[in-house]
Order: sequence, then structure tokens, then C-alpha cells
Amino acid sequence: MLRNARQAGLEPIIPSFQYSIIPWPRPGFSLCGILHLLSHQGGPGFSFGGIVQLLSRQGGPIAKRSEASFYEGVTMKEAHHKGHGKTYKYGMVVDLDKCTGCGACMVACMAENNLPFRKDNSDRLRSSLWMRVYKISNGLPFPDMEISYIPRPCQHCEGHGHHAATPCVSVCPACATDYSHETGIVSQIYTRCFGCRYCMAACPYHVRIFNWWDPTWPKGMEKYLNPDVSVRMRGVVEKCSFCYHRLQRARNKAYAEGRREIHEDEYQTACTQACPAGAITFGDLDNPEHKVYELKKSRYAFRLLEELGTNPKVYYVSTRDWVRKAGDVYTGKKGNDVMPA
Amino acid sequence: MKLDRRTFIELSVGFSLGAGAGIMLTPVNWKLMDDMTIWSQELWPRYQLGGLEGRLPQTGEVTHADSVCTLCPGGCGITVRKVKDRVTKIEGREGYPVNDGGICPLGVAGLQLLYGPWRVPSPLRRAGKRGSGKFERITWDEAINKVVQKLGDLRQRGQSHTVASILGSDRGTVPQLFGRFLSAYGSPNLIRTASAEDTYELALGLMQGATASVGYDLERANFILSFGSGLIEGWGSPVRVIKAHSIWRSGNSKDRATVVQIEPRLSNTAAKADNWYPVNPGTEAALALGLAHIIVKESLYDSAFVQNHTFGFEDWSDATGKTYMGFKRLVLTEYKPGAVSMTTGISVTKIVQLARAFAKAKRPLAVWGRGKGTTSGSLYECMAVHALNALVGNINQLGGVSTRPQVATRAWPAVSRDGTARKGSHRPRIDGAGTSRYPLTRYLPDRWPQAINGGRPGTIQALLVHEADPYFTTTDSAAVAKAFDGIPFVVSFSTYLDETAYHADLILPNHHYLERWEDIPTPVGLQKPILGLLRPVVSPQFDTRHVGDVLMTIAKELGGTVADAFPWEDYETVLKETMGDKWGTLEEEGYVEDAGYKPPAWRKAFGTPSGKFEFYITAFDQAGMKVDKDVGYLPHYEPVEAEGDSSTYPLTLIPAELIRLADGAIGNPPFCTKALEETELKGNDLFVEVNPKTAANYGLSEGRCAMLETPRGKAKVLVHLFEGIMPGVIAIPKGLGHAAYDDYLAGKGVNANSLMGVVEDPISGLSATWGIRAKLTRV
Repeated sequence: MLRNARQAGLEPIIPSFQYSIIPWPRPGFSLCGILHLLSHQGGPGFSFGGIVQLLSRQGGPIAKRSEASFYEGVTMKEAHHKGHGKTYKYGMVVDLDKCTGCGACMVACMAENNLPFRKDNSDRLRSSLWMRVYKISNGLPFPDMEISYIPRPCQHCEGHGHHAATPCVSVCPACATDYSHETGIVSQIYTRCFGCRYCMAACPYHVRIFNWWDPTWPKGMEKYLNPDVSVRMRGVVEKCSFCYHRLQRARNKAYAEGRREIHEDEYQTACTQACPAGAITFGDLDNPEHKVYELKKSRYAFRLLEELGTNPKVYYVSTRDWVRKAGDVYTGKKGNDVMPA
Repeated sequence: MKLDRRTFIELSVGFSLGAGAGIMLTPVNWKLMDDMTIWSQELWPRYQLGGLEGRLPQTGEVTHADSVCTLCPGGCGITVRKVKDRVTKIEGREGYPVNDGGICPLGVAGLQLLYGPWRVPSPLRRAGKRGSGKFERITWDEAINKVVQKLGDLRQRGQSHTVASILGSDRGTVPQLFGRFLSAYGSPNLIRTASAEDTYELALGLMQGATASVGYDLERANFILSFGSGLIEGWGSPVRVIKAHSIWRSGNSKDRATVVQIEPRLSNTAAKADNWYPVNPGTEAALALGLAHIIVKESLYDSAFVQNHTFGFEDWSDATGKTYMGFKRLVLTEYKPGAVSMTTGISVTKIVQLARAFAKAKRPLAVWGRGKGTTSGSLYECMAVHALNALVGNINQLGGVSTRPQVATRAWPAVSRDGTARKGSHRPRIDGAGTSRYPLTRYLPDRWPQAINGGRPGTIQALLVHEADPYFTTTDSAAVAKAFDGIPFVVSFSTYLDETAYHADLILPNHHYLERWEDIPTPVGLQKPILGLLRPVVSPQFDTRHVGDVLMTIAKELGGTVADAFPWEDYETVLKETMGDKWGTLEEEGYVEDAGYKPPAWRKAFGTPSGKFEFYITAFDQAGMKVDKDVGYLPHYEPVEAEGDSSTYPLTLIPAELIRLADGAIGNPPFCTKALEETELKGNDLFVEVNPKTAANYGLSEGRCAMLETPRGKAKVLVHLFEGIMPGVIAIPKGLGHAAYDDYLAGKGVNANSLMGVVEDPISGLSATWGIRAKLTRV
């Protein structure tokens, strides 16, 4: 089984292109969990990311380490602290008027994030999709039916105010998922997750998937696996990471070039890049120079189930009224006749 | 110490508690439990990390290489991300003139096709019965020898004309090599698989006297009227059309384009259109002419173009004084809104509104080609839609429709043919194209099975198939299977174990498109000529060879004039020589484009006998065609009846093409199958879309199993209730029902082609099938 703590939404201390192998399940998880708690309650300078990395390395033989670190001579602690300073709020604006429901985002995500496939994937409850395009209709009979497509990655909910207001984060007993105030990304640490699936129940967007099986690839097909993203073992929950590894790469590059800032186009998710319609825009929601900053202010912009107070970071834009209403089916005051097409 | 009862109990309890605490606190049993879990995982192979140990992918330097995608005729530029020598991702190429960074689901999943178990690993010879899937590996020398022996033998017996070749395209150097081979060998039977281009090329030839492909300036049109074209289902060059759609959706409401979709089903395109007009299937031509009626009646047409550059609009008389009906009189008398409304099911008000909006738009454009454009279609329907474009004067205009040439490449020396070749090449084609019955048509891709099944045995002795999967894609699968049984020697050059390869006697696998050199001609529907270069970005993963090299080796071993026709050393030489002075740019940029290309002005544009755009087709008489009625010379509505009688088969079945489901020569890769909706595929069964009203009549509910029967076949399907389909019509997804490929695709659903039959177009002979009569029963 491949494990990689880097994928876990931790600080990119070392661009370590390595896999470590840990059998599942492993008592070390709970230890990690405790350390994680400590790191939040402990004093400054406690780099839990580094410790988890060390732990995961000690946990099993290191399969491969072929690339030299950019940061030779720089300690983890230094690197970690240099990352601090500015905070980002990465988010997405999806133009539903442009989205054609083609599914390129879904497939690009599968290829980028090493999502496995099975002989029968038709049961959505058991098949893993980090990005899923929903098809909804206005519920009117022929010929007045209308359809809209809604691409749905993890919404990376910020919640309001305090820590752990993100629905999934607030229920995780293993501290396997966390909201990063530095990036606005909700992480998922596979090596900590023990598969209780509370987070799946808590997530109002159904973005989380439980791995019922170990991933397998027909012989030879493992060659296309992306080494930047670990494959996930049976028994853990996984979800969209906003292609966190791409942020790590961008940061590493910026760091190597002596920059602190990452340009907008340096960090784009795989779905954004693939979308033939240009319907997905990704960037820092707080940065006026990023396209999403203005786009999210559109009078046609909305978020899914906004009234639940999850404060998600994925915005949608649609000029069609019924689509915007459909975005809030639980509490939407009118237009509750939305149904799956 | 005296052990009384009390002490005994105290000690017992104490001991038990101690033991309990000890057991809980000692790490031994936790460790044992952990080991047990691990051990039990290792006991059964299915839990063994997917067998990934020991073949963990290597990490290393990340590089990018540019090439072109060949999975559909769209020809998008791709950038391949590599880690060391592994391909880990296919992305759209930024700045490529076709797709500029975007990519479609199939394009991304091309990765799986490269490394998948569906690759043909080496030359294979059939070992069991046809279709049993049993093959044995042979060497390249053996494989080539077998072909040479067979072809040499046939040629010696004077039967060179019994060799046929089916290709996915007839453009580019590789298809040209096949053409050259057949010409030198002595066979007229080069067949191109069906597409809407078959009919459109014919229509452009007849109405504009042009030998060219159709080009649509979609990006700059601002009123798009689509007659059933699946604009965002994968029609033309899919990414380019989706990008155009985003342009139509940009800008303020004033200059936003309007899109109108005419189709009986709420497809993705219809869902994204501003207006969806569900038309009775098969009556699209009537609607086009009904619109023409309003445009003519209200004088909304472009009079500058119609009066000066068209022929046959007004009534006219020939030298003998005989008067002929013009297009104007035809539409004014025959296609009144009331009658058209009855035929098409679109209300009179809507017809009138649509006609006015279309004609008054700044840059209107009517597009034709059903679904993804994988079927030929009716010639008169195509002409009727094209006539609309002529009426609004958008021929060769900005945001209009034009005839688009290919990028000019260096011509090859003429083939010197011996007696056998000359004799063989002049025999009539098996599909009947170019014969006195169908003098204008170049290929009749849905007609060859009929010719074999109805002809004498041995009509076709050997079949060479390249970049096509006729066994799967040809309409009426049963007839195709029978025809294959009648061909003694089938050779496939397929990279993948597709249906045709599965039923072949010999497979000589071509390199995967990421492993080879090739030129990629202009994508379908693009308005400017462009030539892309396919280049190897990864070394061959299996024992495969470039089909160009294999074909030339076969020719050289056949000897004589066949060998002389191929003076080149290898395929790379052919490619470099053919590209001539463009090679440098091609190698550097990956493509050459004629960015400044402008279609010719009206006065120079038309090569028809009248030198004008012809509503009245004079070319019919020139070709010696027998057209029954006067109206036959004009674009008119001639119903293409769906096969089957309506009493036995009360419903109408139409194919539905989906962008996440490849239905051409490439089988759907697992990623794309995974992306299918839950209402499209469940387990191994596909869903047909049925209107709830129709379903109620047959007692069918959502997810219910039903038997779908047409005059051509029957299949078990699941029912999906869908308000987006016209009552009385059922839609079946196209692209499932493979028996070949692998467990990820084989056995899922049914092939829509196995339920359809061929209805021939009276003029072109091409398949004009748009659907078939059907019945649905509860099981």
C-alpha cells in the first residue's frame, strides 16, 4: 500500500518524491492524532507536519527517493516558517451557463489524482469520484424541461469564525481532516483516517468517498500513476484536495526561485485546466488580482446550501433563476421542485 | 494465612481485575491483533495492495511533450506530462489553434488506452474460431509473410479487385498510402467509414461545385440554428465547439449569441441552447424549408447574394423554352407554415418567430449533421439546411459556412500500374459508389455488407482494416457479422483489440498514437486549414510497428510494380518528403496553419456549371442521374421512413450520442465509462430514455427491465423516465455493447447499431437512417 504523508494536506517541507509503505490498520494513527492535537495546543515552533513525515518514514521501508531536495541545507523548521506570513483563500467559481456537462473535469481529476476504476462503477455509492458533475432539472414536463449541470468538487467549507466549523472537520475523531487557514483547503490525511465515516455523514455535499476496496490497476497500467499523489488504501475516506500537490509544486518552485508569492496561473487544479468550456475559474478569493475575486461578486453567483452556514469556497454562477434556487434545496423558500434529471 | 471465603472472594476479584487490566494494558494482544489483520490481508491476493509491490511507479524528472490527439476527427493539440519515460497525464495544449488548452474526457483517458490490457501486444494469428477471442503470438516476419502470400496469390489469380480496405479517414499520408497500395495492387475498393461528411461533401459538390470539406465559422456566428447536431456532444472538433459555445455565452445580453436546437431529445446541446424545439424525428428538412418559406415570403433573404450569385431561386426556362420551378416557388407553395407545423410538430407561431429571428440575426448560421456526425444522413435534408445558409447569404462569410481546403502538401509521383492493376482498378466497387446508380458518391460505407451478403461468394477475399472498427460501427450489426463470415481473410492493423480485430484472422498492431509519427489533417468542421504533427512522445510499449512501414514492407515483398510504387525507405521518409518545406515548421511548432486563410469571394467561389450557387442542381443531369420528379432537382423534404410497421412497432427508437461515451472506432476507456450517469448504465445494463407518458402506457416505471424490439433485433434494457424525450420516442445510448476490449467495457449494454437498419438515400445511396420503429415490453 502506498502512503504519502505529503498528500495529507501538510506543509510542503520537503519536496519528497517518495512512497512509504505502511500496512493497514496501524496503531500509529492514534499517536498521530494525539500529536496533531498537541500541535494545535502546543507552543510555537512545533512542526507536526515534520513529525508525521518522520513517523510515516519510520513506519515502513522507503520505497524510493530519487530526487534531491530543493532545500538541501535548509532545515524543516526554517522552511516551515518561511511559508508563514501571508494567508490565501483558494476557491473556485464555476460558470454554469458555460458548463456543458462534458465530464472532462471528472476524467482529468481521475487521471491527476490516481483515482482507481473497477469493472463496474455504475453504483455511485461505491465508486470514487472527487469531482462529480450532477445533472438537475427544473422538474417541468416535456417540452418545458430544462437541465443544468453542476460540477461539484469538495466545497472546502470555511465555516464561520472558529476553528473546526467545517462540517467534516468538526466530527472527525481522528483529526484526519483539517481546515487550513493558511490556504483555505480542507485536508484529508489518509494515514490517520480509520474509516469511521462520520465525515461522510456530516458533509452536506456528499463529496467524501469511502474506499471499500484497495485500488488495483490492470498489469502495466500502474505506469500512468502520478507520483505526486499517493494512492489510497482500503478502509479510508478520501476527497478532492484542490490538487494540493500542485500547490506544493508551485510553492517549491517559487521557493527555489526566491519568491514568496505564487502567481495565479502557477497553481490551477486539474479540472480547471482541463475544462474545455473555461467554465471553472480557480484562484485566491481574497486576492483582488485573481479572476475569482470579481467573478464571485456577480449578481448571479450563489453557493450550494448556503443557508447551512458552511461558508463553502466554491461559487456557482447561473443566469437561470431555478438553478440558483436549486442550489439551496433544503432551505430554499421557493422553487423546491428541483429533481435529478 | 487462613484462606477464608471473604479473602478468597477478595483475592479472586482482585486477581480478575488485575488480569483484566493487565490484558488491556499489555501491548502483546494489540500487537497480535494487528499482525493478524496484516496476515489475513496477505492471505488473500485481493487484499494484497492490488499487486502493486515491486512495481511501484518510478519517480523522476518531469517533462512535457506536445503532440496531437487522434481519438476522434477533432485533432486537438495535446501536451503530455511525463515522469521519466512514463506518460502520467494528457492535457490540452495551450495555444494550439484548435483547442487552446482545453481537452475532452476521451482525450484525457487516452492515457489508459496507451497502457491498458486492450493493447494488441504483438502480431497475432487467430487460433480458435472467429470471434472466440483465441489468438496466438507470431513474429512480424510470419505475419507479413502471411499477408504477402494471400495477396500475392489473389493477384496472380487475377482477383486483385476482391481485396478491400476500410479506413477511418481518407486524408493524410497513411490513408493515402493505403490508397496508393490498392491502386498499384489493382483494387478499387477503398472504403471510408460513415460520417456526416459523406453527405456534406456531396452537397457542397452539387450546390457549390466544390471539392472540399465544410468549414463552420462557429466562433463568430451569433445565431446558431442546429438541426439535430450534437454541438456539445462531440460534433466536429468537440473541444473547439465547446469553446465556441463559451464565446456564445460571453459578453453582455445584447451581443450574446442565440442557439436553437432542433431535436426530439433534450440532449446536452438542447439543454444548453436558448431554445429547444423538439421536432418529430426525421422531419428536420421540412422544418428547414418551412423556415425558408417565411424568409422568402417576408423577403428577409439576402437579395444581393440570392439575385447575383445563385441559380434556380426564381423559375427559369432552358433553351427549348421549357420552364422549370425555382426554389422560391417550391417553398412558397409546398412549405406553408400550417402544413410544416403538421409534419414537424412545431407550432406555426414558433416557426414564424424562428424564421424571422434567424434571418434578422447579424451572422446567422444553420448547422447540419446528426449527433456527433457519425452517420451519413439524408442528402436532401443537408441541402435544405444548406439552402437556409444561402438564403441569409452567409456562404463564405464571416460567421458563416465555407468550403475549406486542406493544407497543400507535396504530391507523390504517379503510380505506374501493370495490366493486373489497371484491370482490377477499373472493376466496379463492391459498395456501388461511383457506379451508374450512384455516380456522385465516393464511398458507401453502410452498403458493403449488403453487397457481400447478397453477392456471389468470394466477392471480397481479403479485407484490410485500419483505424476503423466497421464490425462495431456499421449500421445493422447482424448483416455485418454475416458479411464478415463471408470474407475468408480479414487483417486488422488496430492498436487495440477492438471488435474488428477480435473477428480478424491476423492482427498487425500499429503503434499507439503517442508512440508514432503521422500527419493529422484539418479537423472536421474547422474553417481554416491546419495540419498537425503526431510525434512519438514515448517509446513503443509493445511489439508493434508503424502501419505505414508494414504496408510498404508488404508492397515491397509483393514485388513488381506494386513494390515500385513505394520508392521510400520507410514511413518517416514518406512523411518528411510529403511535408516538403513545411517539415521544419511542423517539427518545431507541431503544426502549420494557414492563419490568413479566407474563403474565396462569391464571384470566384462556385464551380458549378452555372458558376453560381445552385438551388437547382444541374450536376444531376451532367452525371447522368435519373431524378424522377422536377422537385428532385431542388432541396425538398422527402421523408426517410423509419423501418418497420407502426402497428407491430408503435414506438420510434433513435440513437443518443453522449460525450462521455465514445461510439466510434475507439472503445470507451474505463475513466469515461466511470463518468457515465447512473441513469445511463447500471451494472451491465444500459438505460433507454422513455417519456413518463409513454412508459405509463406500457406499465413501465423507473429502473424497470424491459425488452426493446425492432425489426432488426431485440435487447434487454432498463427504463429511465425522462421528461426530456418526446412521447412515443425512445433513445438508446450509442457506444455500448462491445464484446471485445476487456472486462471494463465488454458485455456492458447493447450496441445501438444492432437494433438499426440501413435506409438508403435515393440519390447518394448513403445510409439516411435516423431511427427505427420499435416496441417496448415489460419483462
